[in-house]
Amino acid sequence: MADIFEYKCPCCGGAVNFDATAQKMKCPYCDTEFDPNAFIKKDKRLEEQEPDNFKWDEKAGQEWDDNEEGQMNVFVCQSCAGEIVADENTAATECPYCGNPVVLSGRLSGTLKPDYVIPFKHTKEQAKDELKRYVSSKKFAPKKFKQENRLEEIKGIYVPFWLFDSDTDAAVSYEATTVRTWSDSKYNYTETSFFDVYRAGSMSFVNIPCDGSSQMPDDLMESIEPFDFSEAVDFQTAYLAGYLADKYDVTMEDSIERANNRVRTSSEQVLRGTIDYPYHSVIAKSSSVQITNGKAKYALYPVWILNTDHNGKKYTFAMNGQSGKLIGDLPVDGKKLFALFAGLSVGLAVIIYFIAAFTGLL
Amino acid sequence: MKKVLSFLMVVIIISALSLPFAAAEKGQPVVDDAGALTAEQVQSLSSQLTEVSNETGIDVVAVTITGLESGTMMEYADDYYDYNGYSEDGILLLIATQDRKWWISTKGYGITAFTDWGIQYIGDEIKPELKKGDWYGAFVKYGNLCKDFVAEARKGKPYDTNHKIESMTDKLFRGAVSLGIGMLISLIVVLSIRSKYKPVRLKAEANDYLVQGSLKLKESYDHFLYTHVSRTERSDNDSGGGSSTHTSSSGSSHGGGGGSF
Repeated sequence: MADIFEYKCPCCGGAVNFDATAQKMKCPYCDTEFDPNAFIKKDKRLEEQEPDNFKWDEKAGQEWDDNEEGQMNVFVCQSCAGEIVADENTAATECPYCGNPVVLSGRLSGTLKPDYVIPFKHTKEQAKDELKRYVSSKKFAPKKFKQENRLEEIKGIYVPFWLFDSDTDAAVSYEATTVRTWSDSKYNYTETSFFDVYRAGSMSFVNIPCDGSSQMPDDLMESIEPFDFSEAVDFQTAYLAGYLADKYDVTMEDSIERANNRVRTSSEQVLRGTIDYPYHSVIAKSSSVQITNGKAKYALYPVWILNTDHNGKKYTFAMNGQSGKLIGDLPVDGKKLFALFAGLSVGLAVIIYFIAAFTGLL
Repeated sequence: MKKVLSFLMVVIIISALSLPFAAAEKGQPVVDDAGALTAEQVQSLSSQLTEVSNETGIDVVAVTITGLESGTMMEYADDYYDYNGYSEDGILLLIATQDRKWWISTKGYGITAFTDWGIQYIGDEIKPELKKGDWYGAFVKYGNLCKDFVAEARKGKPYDTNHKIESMTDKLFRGAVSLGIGMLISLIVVLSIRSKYKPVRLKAEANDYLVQGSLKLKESYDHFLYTHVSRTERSDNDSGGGSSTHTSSSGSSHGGGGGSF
């Protein structure tokens, strides 16, 4: 059974959050700041409850199949004794009654304990501002959408990611051509030379992130990449205070195919990049990519999710909590776009007409 | 002193002789030997063709006859132009009203400005009027076309097979093609803008996570296989049909063409 956990301020007893600007734990009541490491002792105690003996080769699923049976999704807030209902993957949330951040520590311990976490670097306000900037910069979004788009919900979520390391051995053969043209008084000549081009090599990829949460759309998560792993720190539950967190519910085995597909494409692109002769065309004829996967890591990456509502339709935006990159699909004003199409068509047609008349091409 | 006087005398005599000759040199722009035009029509056509002549710098002449007993339309037109005091540069349209034939003879700059293609074009343009017997209408059209043709030739490129006068169909065709290309480009622009509003998609590659400098090429070659040469005949668009010339009985060079209606 998962424990519920709050980080209390040693000065005033208030519940503390992780502050993205200061990169420290901060008490919202007395403004005291602490290093997240100050809570390491507490974290240690957490870990002792279930010994840290995870191995990725083991079937992680087995363990929480057992858990699922007796899974209690109702927790009691340690501050106000209110009931907190959380779904089975929630690892950090806030009490709906007193608003205190709580960490459901059992969800992130034992085999489920992440190896790394990238702490949030952008605050809720920055995410809101970025959304405004993003929407207002889109000229072809309907005016109504810009004006009436209501921010329904903003959530800072630590999303579980599998990080894969891959070494690849790739070999690609191409058919390449060069084209030369010339003419004499009677004929135009085109000379096409064909080349057999072959590239084989090895390369390494590290920390390719794969969304481990089934609730987060994969395309949205991949659109806010890249995450800079060099800023990741060893996981401590203290970083989760004040944010939401999920544990993974997509297994490593299920994720690896997605990572390998991306590695395959990249390997081919990298090899393609080594063809430096200016061929006129290069077509890949056959390719073989052997991927050796190293060990996978389990990490929590910071993501702001912003849900907006317009005319009863939901629009979801995601911001990379590390880099600040925000992305999301927007509606397009069909009339504006058609006006552009019509105007541009006519304008171009007039220009082309006169160029054609002048050069005698048509 | 006597020599000077006699020289003066010669000058005066020559000038006196040449005066009527000079007057005769100025050929009429409209010669209605067939009697196909009314006096008013001759009047207005004369002033139109004189104006065109002044504007273009070449003589533009209209001649009607009923028919020929001997010789060809070409010989008659060439000789008429040569022997009736027209300038070295000009064009003459001869219409035989009863033989139902037309002929255009050109000389000097007229040969340059009116190519074989151009002469046939003018013939085709005036044919409807000729068929109706509207001689006046045909000549008016001819006068207007002459203005266009010489103006275009003065620009450096006379109307010819490679530089045709544009018909309405040509312009419509070009307009349609231009609009088509314009719409295609606009469609690409609009679609690319639209795709910017739907940026959420799976990443195909993992280039961000490639370890810099980890690429080790094990094998790499570019082998030449073979060469294929194809040739296509050049469509000669550079030069037009030009003007063909012949020599008239007076020994001068003429261009021309004609037909019947």
